[in-house]
Formats: sequence, C-alpha cells, structure tokens
Amino acid sequence: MTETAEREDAVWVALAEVLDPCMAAGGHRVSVVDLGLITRVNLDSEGVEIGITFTEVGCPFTHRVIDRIESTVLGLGFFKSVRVTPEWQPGWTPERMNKVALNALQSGRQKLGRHFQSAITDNT
Amino acid sequence: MSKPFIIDGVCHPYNFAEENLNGRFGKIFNDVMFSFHPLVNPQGAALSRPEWEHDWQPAEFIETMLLESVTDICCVHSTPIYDAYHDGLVTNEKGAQLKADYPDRVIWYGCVDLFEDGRNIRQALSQFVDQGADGIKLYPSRYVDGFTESWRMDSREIAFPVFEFARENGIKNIAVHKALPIGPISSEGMLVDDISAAANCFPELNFQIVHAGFMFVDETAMLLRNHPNIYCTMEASMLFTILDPPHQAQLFSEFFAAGGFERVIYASAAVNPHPQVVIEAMLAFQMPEDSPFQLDESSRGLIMGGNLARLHGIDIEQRAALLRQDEFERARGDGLRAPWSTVRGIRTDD
Repeated sequence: MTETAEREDAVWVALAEVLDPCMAAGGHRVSVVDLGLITRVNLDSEGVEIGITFTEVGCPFTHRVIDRIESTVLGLGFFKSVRVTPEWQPGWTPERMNKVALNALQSGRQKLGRHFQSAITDNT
Repeated sequence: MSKPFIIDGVCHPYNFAEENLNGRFGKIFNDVMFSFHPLVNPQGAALSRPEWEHDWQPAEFIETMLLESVTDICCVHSTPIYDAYHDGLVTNEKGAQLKADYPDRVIWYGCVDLFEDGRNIRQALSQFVDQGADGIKLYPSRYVDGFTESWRMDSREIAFPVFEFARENGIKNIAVHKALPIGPISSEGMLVDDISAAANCFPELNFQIVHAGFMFVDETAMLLRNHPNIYCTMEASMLFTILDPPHQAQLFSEFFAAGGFERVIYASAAVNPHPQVVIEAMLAFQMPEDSPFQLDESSRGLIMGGNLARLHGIDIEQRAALLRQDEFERARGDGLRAPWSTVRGIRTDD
C-alpha cells in the first residue's frame, strides 16, 4: 500500500470517529461516515480536501461538524492543511446511510413506537 | 400582483476578503457562506470565489441592493463577529456611512460586542446613537481558543443596561442573533428562552429574533404567543423559499399561527444571496392549498416591508412618494441592472 493510500485510509478511520451531533443527541453513536455525509477525500502534496454534505441545506450544525472534522484530521499529524468543503448538490438522500446509521434510526423508531404505545395504553 | 413596498430586514455590506479572516474559524465561515452562494443566485450569474471574497464598500452595496433589485429600503445590520473576522464582518463605520449618505433608503442597526467591558460598550452605543443608528444588533456567543462564551438576554448585568440605554435614547428595536450557531460554538447562546424576560421587562422595546426558524421553532412560536413585542426576522431562514419550499411553509405556518402575519419580517441576507432572487422567490411563494394562512397582497406586504416600517414609524405611502423622486428611482427607470454587474464594475458614475 502506498503512503498516500495509507493516509487516505487513516483519514477515513478518523472521520468515522466524528459523530453526527443530532444522532448523538438521540443517543446514537453514528458518525458522519455512517450517515453518508462525506462525499470525497482528496489528498495532494500539501494536504487533504474533504467534501461534505448535510442531511438538510442550512443545517445549524454545519460549522460545528466542519470544525470537528478539521481538528480530527489535523490531529493525525500528516497534513499541513485540511480543507472541508460543503457540497450541497446533488444533496443528501437516505440511501447514503450505511447499516450502522440505518440500524440506529430503526432502533430509534422502535423506541419511539414503544413509548407512544405505552402512553396510549396508560391513558386508556 | 402589484409589488409591495419592500424593506429588506437584514442585509450586509460584508467583508469576505481573505485578509479579513481571523484564523481557522474565519476560513470555515467563508467556506460555508460561499457554498450557499451558487444556490441562492441567478443561474449562471453567481460570483466566482475570487469575486466573492470581497470587501463590500457602501456605495457598491447600496447600488447592488437598489439598482439590481426592487428593494425600497435596506435594513443594514452591522456585526461584531470578531472571532471569525478581524473587523467583525460588517463594521459600524459602513453602516453609519450608509445611514448618513442614504437616510431615506437605509435603516441601520449598529452592533455592540457585549463581551467588551461596560465602559467600551457605553461608548460604542453613544457613538452610534450620535451617528443615527435606528436599532441595536447583538450577538450572544463567541468562540475563543476552543471555548464558547455566551451571555443571556435576561442578564441584568450584561443585557439589561443596553436595553435601558436604548430606552433612554429613543431606540426601540433590538435584534439578536439566535437559532443559528455561528462557528463551532455550543448552542446555549442560540436558545431563545432568555428573550422572554427581556420582552417582559422592556415592553416598549421590540425584540427581533434574527434567523428565527433554524432551531427552537416551538419555543419561538411560544414567545410570539406570549409577547406582542417579539418578532421573527427570518434572515437566511427565508432562503428556504428557494432551497426547501415545503420546509418554509412549515415554518411560516408555525409563526403565522402563533403571531399572525404581523410578526414575521422578510430578510434576504444579501449580498450573499442576490437580493432580487430572494424577492422573486418570496413574491412567488404560496402556502399549501389547504393552509389557513394563505399569502395575499396584504399579508405579503406586511412581511416584506409593512411590519418593519411599523416598527420604525415609517409611513409607507409618504416614504414611497419621497423615494419616487430620488436618484435610485430615476436610475431604475431604464430597468434593473444585471445581477452582480455593480460589483463587477458598473457604477452610477460610469
């Protein structure tokens, strides 16, 4: 494996540690990679450019997620510069999620369903 | 449909120049702002990144706003975002100059940084009152060396002295950045609950929640229901008319149900979006057929200018008659300039 390929792999591993703040708020350990937010990782002699999209245009956590990605990838110590570029088109769709994210969403739905079911039962 | 009298509730002569960026946070801010630019501009007319990284000067800003769009009055907000931009992004100097040069066309909200010490704050406030500020713009959070600092609108020590100053000096409008975190800051400062006490204790002041709709929509609606002096100024959140119309309809429904058409204020966030694009989107925007809150000439007129005119004591008929005789109206006689032609070099003096 070339050094570039190793570093790219390391970037993807690091990105998998950056949690999506909304999913984390719901108690789910789902990363930006699991959600399919990362559109590309490009390395050159100077550094790395990472493309990112969000589940909705105007996501209020855009700055925060970008900051965490930059800090995390800079922390690898490989790159002089890390640039995270928001890319809004073609836009995020649920098909971009992997199994980790899908399972987390599914379990969240089931939990909510049980919650509402018990609330209905308690009131009848 | 006739055009309403349009007051753009928040627009800015930004300084996006690369030399103005303050560290990594400034770079992130610019990258994100520029990423939206192509989505909220006329197709094929968006600025290139080098064109966009520009320190907007007052004269080119006002000509862009008034000669490239059918905006009647610009409400210019200065901003104290020093954690991302060396000059805060939109200086008070630019706002003061615009107000001085175009008093009938500009409403100006001077900004004050409440993280400064009290004496500097008082000085800044006095200065921009002398310069003709019509309102005060506040930012409740900042990011410093990995930490977020926030203050609350219900703070008797930090915020209330500003409101008392406003009351004593005839300023009736306070706009506060909320609901949309700027930079990697935590969200406490973006909560809206603290505005309730401010609105209660200062009933003679109007409090505008700038960026209303991005977060805490239920809480914002609750504030509208409880306080007649709280308003939703939908800077950037009104871009959902372009980016996500069903979402815009949902936000409007919440706010109209809670406060009526009288409490929502149109704001384009120009000159990142082109002002005419947002105007056209809002003029064309329709609520779903089954909504009880249909937009007609009257309600659209309130949102796009009437409400802010009322807050600033502007008689729309009188002001419109005055503006019909000014240089901008004369220049518009030949039609609007092409989008971004002003910043690309077309000027009145040419």
